[in-house]
Amino acid sequence: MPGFNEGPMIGKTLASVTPWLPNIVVVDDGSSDDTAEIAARAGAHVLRHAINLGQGAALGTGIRYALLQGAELIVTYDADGQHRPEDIEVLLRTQREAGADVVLGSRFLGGAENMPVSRRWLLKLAATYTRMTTGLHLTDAHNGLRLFTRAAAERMRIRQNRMAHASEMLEWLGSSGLRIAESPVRIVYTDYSLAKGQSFFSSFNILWDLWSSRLYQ
Amino acid sequence: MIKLPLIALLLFCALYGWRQRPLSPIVGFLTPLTCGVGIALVIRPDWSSEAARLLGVGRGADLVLYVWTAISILVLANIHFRLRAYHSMITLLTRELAILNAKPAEGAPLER
Repeated sequence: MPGFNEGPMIGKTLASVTPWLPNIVVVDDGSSDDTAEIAARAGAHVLRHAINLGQGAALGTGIRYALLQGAELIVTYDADGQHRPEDIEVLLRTQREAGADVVLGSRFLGGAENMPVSRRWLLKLAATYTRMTTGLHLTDAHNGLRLFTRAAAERMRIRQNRMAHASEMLEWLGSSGLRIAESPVRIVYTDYSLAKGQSFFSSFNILWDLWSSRLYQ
Repeated sequence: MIKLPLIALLLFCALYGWRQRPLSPIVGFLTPLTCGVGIALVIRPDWSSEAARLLGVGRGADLVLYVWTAISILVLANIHFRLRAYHSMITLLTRELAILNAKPAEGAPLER
């Protein structure tokens, strides 16, 4: 669970997922508030980035740490409280039934409450872009709720520190040969999660990060 | 006499660009190419007018300015990519520090 200045929400989020997960790793991405302290009190493994690097970098750190601890299944989960913890069980069931290496949550298969129309269209555009660039027929390209088997996580390399990591991950998955499944999940947009979320113009940064990264090693 | 230092400078730029191939193949390819055009224009300034006429640029001096602009953009791109590469290194360092200083949940043994 990556977190940057999530003090107002992370305690509640951790309390809700604790019954569903045996181990929770929180990566505090250089917060200036008490995110790390709250996470430690809530019983999570806590890692701190000395500087703010971005969500992609925080996920990369958390996944690497989980692998070092011997994790067999890794779930990524947003700290802003927009996921429903019971959807973790849905992801696990999908992984078992489909024998998938990677399970991606989809709000368009499950549902989304209070999703702004602009966000809906942006996500649809992102899914179309993903289909065109990776060949993956996904309904939701940027859902923070995902599941990776150990084998998949060990092969994955996240180079994009910021929000472009989600697209980068899908590009990699498209050529990885891994078995990928989508799972219906519900997203509840709150004023808090909308304020923390990405603006329309962030998509330009994501495209720039993705395209420019192809020009250097 | 200004031609020799200019050619030396452009050759240096071309060599520098060529050596950037491991970091950015596109910069490594385009910089020597653009510098080559620059050297040709220094040796034969009359070509700039002819090339400008063919390309519909206007005057030869304008074409030289455009080539110089292209070189500047490539150098800036290279600096940008180099910064991105350094940023990747900082990410790796920050990640390793975070893992080394991890606070495991109470009762959970840290396995390294």
